[in-house]
Amino acid sequence: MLIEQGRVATLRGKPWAAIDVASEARIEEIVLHIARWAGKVLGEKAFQLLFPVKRRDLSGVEMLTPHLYGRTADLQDFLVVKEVRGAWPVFDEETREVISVEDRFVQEVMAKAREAADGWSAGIKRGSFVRVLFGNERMLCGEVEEMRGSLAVVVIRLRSRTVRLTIPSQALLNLSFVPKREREYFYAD
Amino acid sequence: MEETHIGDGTLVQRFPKSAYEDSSDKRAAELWREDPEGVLAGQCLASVETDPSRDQSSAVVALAVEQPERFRELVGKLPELIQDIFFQHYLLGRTQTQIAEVLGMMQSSSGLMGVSQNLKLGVMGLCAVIAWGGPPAKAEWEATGREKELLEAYRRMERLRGRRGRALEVRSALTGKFVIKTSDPLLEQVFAPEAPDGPVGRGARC
Repeated sequence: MLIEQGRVATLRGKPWAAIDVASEARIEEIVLHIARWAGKVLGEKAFQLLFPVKRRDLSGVEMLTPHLYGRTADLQDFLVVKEVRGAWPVFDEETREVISVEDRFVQEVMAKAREAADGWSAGIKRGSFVRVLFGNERMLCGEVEEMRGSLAVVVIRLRSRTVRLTIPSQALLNLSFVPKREREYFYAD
Repeated sequence: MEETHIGDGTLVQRFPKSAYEDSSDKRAAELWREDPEGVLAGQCLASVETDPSRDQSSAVVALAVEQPERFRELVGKLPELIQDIFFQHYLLGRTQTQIAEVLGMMQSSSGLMGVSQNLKLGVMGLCAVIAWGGPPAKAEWEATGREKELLEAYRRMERLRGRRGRALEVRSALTGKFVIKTSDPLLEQVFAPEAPDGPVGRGARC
């Protein structure tokens, strides 16, 4: 996932800062805080943050790399990211300069992250068993009743009510390998 | 005597835990690990852990994590609404707000108690099911003594049986795109809640 603000075209080709995270288990919370921090502290400045997710499921997020990558016109901006608990840039302790990472490398990671994001919903069609990955219905499972272009209509059969959710198929994880007898809205492997 | 300063600088003195307290803590933890059902049914030891008036959700967590099939079987004996709360909370780690929204418990007109109250009621009801080896028969609902509290909770819980909410249509506003703006009002929905309060969330974050 790529989170951005401002005129990001001005950042093309520029290097990135690697951002360490204290806990992979808290990673989503940390990324959200960095995004909020950017909106608040950097104002209109162009900003990009790559959250390279390999896999998402009930147990959380698995990253493609141990770091997040962020960039602005001046990487020293990231020294302030320490205001976000659990996140800090990789920097030289003597010079206090943020260490830059080549754009080419981060673009490769980004391509893999895009591929992974497309992968978890690949093959979803009518009748597929899926898990909702984002939004208020996250982690609930259901069956795709209908595809409307890039949108899927998912029927989630709770014990006390039925929910019919229309959501982009990219927000779903394809669990069609789950045998029919095990398909419950609370499926947990 | 142990001395510690709490947040506002107040000095607090505590007696250190006795050897008995230490060993009973350890024993209780072992029992939860070995036989969460027994602890829930109050068969193992008479202590805080088996007193149904205390929170026994940790034993339910142990049951859900270590014996998921048994957990599903037992929860399947509870009213449908309680099942939905238990499965979402204990198996999927969904927050109480998310659970309340999907079950239509946010509106006061629903006449339903909040998720946390229903969780407590459900834990007591589950204890009753385990202690009685199945749903207690109506004829047994008038028991006295220690069992009275469990049965009272079970009776209250049974009132929810057969209750079904109307079908819900939800259209997600999410785009599912790889690129998202920091100003996007849906930004928070893309990420996990800050503090998932279900055991899956807790487990994943330990």
